[in-house]
Amino acid sequence: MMDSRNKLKMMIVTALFAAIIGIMAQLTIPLPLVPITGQTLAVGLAATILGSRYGTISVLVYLAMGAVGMPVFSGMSSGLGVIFGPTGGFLIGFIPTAFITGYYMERTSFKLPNAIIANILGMFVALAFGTVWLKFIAELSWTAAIMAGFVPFLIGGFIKAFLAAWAGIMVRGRLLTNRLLLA
Amino acid sequence: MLEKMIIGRFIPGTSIVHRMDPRSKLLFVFLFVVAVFLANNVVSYAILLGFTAFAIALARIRPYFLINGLKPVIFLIIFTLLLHIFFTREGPVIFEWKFIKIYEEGLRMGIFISIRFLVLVLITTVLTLTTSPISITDGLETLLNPFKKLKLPVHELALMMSISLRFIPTLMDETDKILKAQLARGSDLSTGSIKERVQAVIPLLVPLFVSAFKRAEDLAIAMEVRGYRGGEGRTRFRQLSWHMRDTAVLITFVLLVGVLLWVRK
Repeated sequence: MMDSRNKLKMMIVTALFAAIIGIMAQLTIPLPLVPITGQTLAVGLAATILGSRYGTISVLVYLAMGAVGMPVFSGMSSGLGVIFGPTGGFLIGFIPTAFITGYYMERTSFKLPNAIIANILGMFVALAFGTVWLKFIAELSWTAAIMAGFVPFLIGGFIKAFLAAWAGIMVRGRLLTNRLLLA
Repeated sequence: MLEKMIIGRFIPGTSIVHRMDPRSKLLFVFLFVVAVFLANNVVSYAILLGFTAFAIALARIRPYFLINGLKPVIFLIIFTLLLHIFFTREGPVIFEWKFIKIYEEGLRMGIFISIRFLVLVLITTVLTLTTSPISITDGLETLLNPFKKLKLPVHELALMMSISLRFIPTLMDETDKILKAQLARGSDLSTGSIKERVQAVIPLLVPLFVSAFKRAEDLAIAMEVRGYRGGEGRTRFRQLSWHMRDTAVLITFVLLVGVLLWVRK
């Protein structure tokens, strides 16, 4: 009884996280030089708080919602056209990103240093995925793809990874002490 | 923004495209997205553009909504065009000014790839303008049903999508409330050093996620009390029905691919 309810609850939590990613994707944190978009931050947070399994599913649900026309991608865009478009690799790359970020922490521990490493790892996966996708879908040369899809996002990516790890571990700690999340 | 988040981009209507079954529309769009990559010369791209215009006319969509749907991606299309013009170096040079050199192949590829994206975005926009997110989710669930045999939790995924769609407006309200509450307490995101600003984000995130967990607990109990036991044997409130027009859509697709295969180089 308790077990099936917890499974149902985690399913709902995963759905709500997908909604939160969609909302955060519309927000920008105004840092000097490198404004941080909420989308990648939210994906890192979902993986850090929920772990690999539910984190990955919430990203899947998020992408599916965007595909069916809810304006949840950044800039209130949506549709399969965005996923299959030149920058779609960054979106699809969120799936392995969430999985690897969560998996690394499950293999080590849900503590800040590991969370930072996990999120940086995830960031590189996302950028690599996006760049390779950009190269092939837009049929660009490697130099052009890397200049457009990798280099400009590096600094912001590091700050985001750090922020996601820090906030994620903090939220996870609160949830565990209040027994809202069962380890 | 809130209003947009509730219905997505769906515009109710009575055109033949509106009345089609979401399953046939979804199947068509998925297959079309793949078929677009078949085009590789002027004729095949012209056919794609013509077909897309035909679909838009059939759906009787007002141009205003179409342009609105294009707005977020128009930048991407121009961006790819420019990347090609400046980075693809094949064929004869057709334009030269100081250090800028534009090659014929770059211009050609840039235009073709831009048309490809334009067509992709337009056809998926037709789908989302004529079908509500909930009925697309229903269609997706039935289409994916065969994958249940491979242990893919189709029902659970569709349920999560419906819950997520339902809670976007609620959680947006909540985000707004938390933002205002923290502003009232003197939180400041737009001044200070990077470290201070990053620190100011934390008090916004913690309550948002904690409240999501509390909500989930309440909803789980409510669903269990009402007898929710998973997808097995569950009946549906919204029924889908397949008509002749839906079969016609799929036949049209086969014809389109046949023509594309015939005219491509």
